[in-house]
This record gives sequence, structure tokens and C-alpha cells, in this order.
Amino acid sequence: MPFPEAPTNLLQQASDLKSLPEDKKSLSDLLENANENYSMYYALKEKYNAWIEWYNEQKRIHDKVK
Amino acid sequence: MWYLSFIPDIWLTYAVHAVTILGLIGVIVGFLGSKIPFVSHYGGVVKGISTIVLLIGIYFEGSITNEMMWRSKIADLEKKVDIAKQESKKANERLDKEVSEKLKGIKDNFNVNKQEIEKNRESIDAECKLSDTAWLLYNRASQNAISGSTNKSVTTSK
Repeated sequence: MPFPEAPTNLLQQASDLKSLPEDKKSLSDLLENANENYSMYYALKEKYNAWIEWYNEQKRIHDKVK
Repeated sequence: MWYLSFIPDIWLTYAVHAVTILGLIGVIVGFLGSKIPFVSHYGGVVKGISTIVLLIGIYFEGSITNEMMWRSKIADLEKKVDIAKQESKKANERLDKEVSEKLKGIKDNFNVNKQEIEKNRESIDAECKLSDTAWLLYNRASQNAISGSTNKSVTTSK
């Protein structure tokens, strides 16, 4: 049985969190940056959980072929 | 018996049955022939040869049964693998769709919050400005870094 493919959404590399540029030191800049970094975290969390689901589902399918 | 795998099932079955039946008929004819005067000598020869043919037929009957059993198992397994491939593909499509929807939701929420920050920028910044130290420590936290003094720009340590 061939190795199962993974969804394309899960095959993208994770990017680094964004840092605050030196010329942006206001509270709103910090909030913007935090908003962006938090959204990146949530996206990665979804992808991480999807990998777990992918593994469990593919294992279940694989185990049936015996 | 690997060479049997090149011959189609039905041909193989017919050929083996034919050899067995031929041997059986030969044994009966030989047995009857050996009772008939004048041809009894040939009857014995026919019986002898037919017995060998019958034994070969019986041997191949056993082999073909075994061969067919394995072919059936292989066919079952191939069917299961095909079903599994389809299931795997469907599961991936479903998961990909789910992840895409969730990522879109996250992006939408990010954009709404970004707009809100932009709209309230003036009031947010009215009473607070980050010090250099706060800026540096914030960046160190987001970059998971501990190097760099509080007077310099952030450097990452990985």
C-alpha cells in the first residue's frame, strides 16, 4: 500500500513570529504585532491538530487492510 | 508453482480437470479392456499409463486449489487496498477543506482586529508609548531570544 498523501495546507513551512520594527514603539504598533503573531499561533495550532487528525485517520484506514 | 501465475484461472482449471478426467477414463477403459480377450494386453498398458496420468491430475488438482486460494486472497487484498486508497483520498480532501475554512476564519478575525486597532489608534497611543527596554523585551519574547542589551536592536539566538 503506497504511503498516504498529506493535505497541501499541512505541507507549508511555519514562518517565524514577527518582531516590532525599531521605528514602531507605540502601543497600537505593539497591538498590531501581537494580533498578527497570535493569528499565526492559531493558524499553526489548527495545522498541528490537523496533523494529529490526519495521522489517526490514516492509521485507522491502514489498519483495516490486513 | 510460480509459473502457474502466468496462466489465466479458467484455462488452468480446465486443463487440470481435463488431465484428471482423461486419466480416470483411461483407467476405466484400461480396466474394461483388460477383461476383453485379444485386447487385454493393451488394456493393461492403457491402465498403467492412465493411472500415471490420473495421479498427475490429482496432484495438479491439489496444486490448483492452493493456487486459486492464494489468488483469491490476493484479489481480496487488492480490493481492500483500492478501498483504502479511496478512503485516504476522501479523508485528505475533507481535512484540507476543514483546515482551509479554519484558516480563513483566523484570517478574518485578524483583519477585524487590525481594523479596530487602526480605528482606535489615536486613543490607544494617547496615554502610552513603549520604552526602548519594553520594545526590546517584547521582541525578545516574540523571537524566543535572550541575547542583546536593552540599548541595541533585537538579535535572535536559536
